[in-house]
Amino acid sequence: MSKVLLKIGGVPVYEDDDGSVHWLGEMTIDADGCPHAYGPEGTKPLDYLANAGYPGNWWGIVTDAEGIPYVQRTGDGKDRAPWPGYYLSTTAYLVSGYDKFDARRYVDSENVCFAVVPGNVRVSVEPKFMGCKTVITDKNTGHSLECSCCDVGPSSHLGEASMAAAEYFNLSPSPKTGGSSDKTRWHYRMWPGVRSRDYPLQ
Amino acid sequence: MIRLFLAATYLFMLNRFGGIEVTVDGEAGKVRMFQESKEGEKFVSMVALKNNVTADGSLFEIKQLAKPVVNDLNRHINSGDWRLRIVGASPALQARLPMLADFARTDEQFTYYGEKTE
Repeated sequence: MSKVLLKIGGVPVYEDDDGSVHWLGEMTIDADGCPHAYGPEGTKPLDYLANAGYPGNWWGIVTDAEGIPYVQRTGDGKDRAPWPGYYLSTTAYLVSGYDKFDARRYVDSENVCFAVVPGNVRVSVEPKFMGCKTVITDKNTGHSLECSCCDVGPSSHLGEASMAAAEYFNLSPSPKTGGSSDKTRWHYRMWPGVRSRDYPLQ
Repeated sequence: MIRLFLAATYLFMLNRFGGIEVTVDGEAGKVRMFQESKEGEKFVSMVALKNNVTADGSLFEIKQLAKPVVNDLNRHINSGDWRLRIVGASPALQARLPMLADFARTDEQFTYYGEKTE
C-alpha cells in the first residue's frame, strides 16, 4: 500500500509499507561535492557560482569563520585540495574522518552516482535519508541504478542527481545545460534508514 | 454555493533554493517569498493579495506566454511559460524578494518567469 506523504507542485511523494519513499521527477544535475564545481573569477568551474549560494547564504561551498568562501591551496596536497584556486564544494552528506577544508569530506558528483532528496521530503519521515539505499529508474528504458542519497535539494523540486548518475543514463552531465526536463521519466525510490552499499547512514 | 474560480498556484524560482509562489483564488490570493538552503528554511515572507494587489499597492500581474522563456536550461531558474510582473513594488516588498541568480537575470525589472504548479 502507498500513502501520499506530501505533494510538491501537485506531484505526489509516496511512502510504501516497506518504508520506502518514491516520486517521479526530472533529472536536474547537482554538481555539488565536485572540487571544481565552483570557483572565483579567473577559473573555469563547471557550474554557476550562484548555484552555490550568495554572500551570507552559501549552501554549496565551504566558508571560513567570517563566511568568506574558502579557496583550495596548492600547498594542501592533491588529496585534500585537488583543484587549487577553486572553491571547495560541499554535499549534505559528510564523509567522516576528514575536516571541513578537505575535499574528501564531500561526495564528488563527478565520480559518484547519487540522488538528491528535497528538503521537505527529508524531514517528512523520521529515518535518515543521507547515505540511504536509493534506486533511480528510467521509465523510458526500464534501466535502473542503485546508488545512495547524498545531498539535499530545494523543497519545490522533484528529481535531481549527480553528474555521474546522469552519465550512467547517457545524459549530458553539465550542471548548466544537462540533465532531463521530462517530469514523468525518472522514478526515484529511497529507503530512509536503510544504508546504501557505499555510504553509512547519517 | 457556486464557485466561479478555481485556485491556481504559480512558482517563480529566483535562485536554486529561493523563489516566489503566488496562489490566486478568485479575488483573494497570497504571495509566499521564500529562501531555503540545504539546512532548511532561511526565511519565509507571506503577503495577502486582493484582486492581485497587496495592501501597500504592489500589483502582481501574472500572464501565460505563448512559449516559455528559458534563462536556465538545467534548473529552470527564472524560466517558464508564465510571467510575473510586479508593478509598483513597494520598498518593503522589494526588501523581501529573494536574490535573483545572476546567470538567469534579464533586463526586465521585477519581472520573473516560472510555471503553474497547481
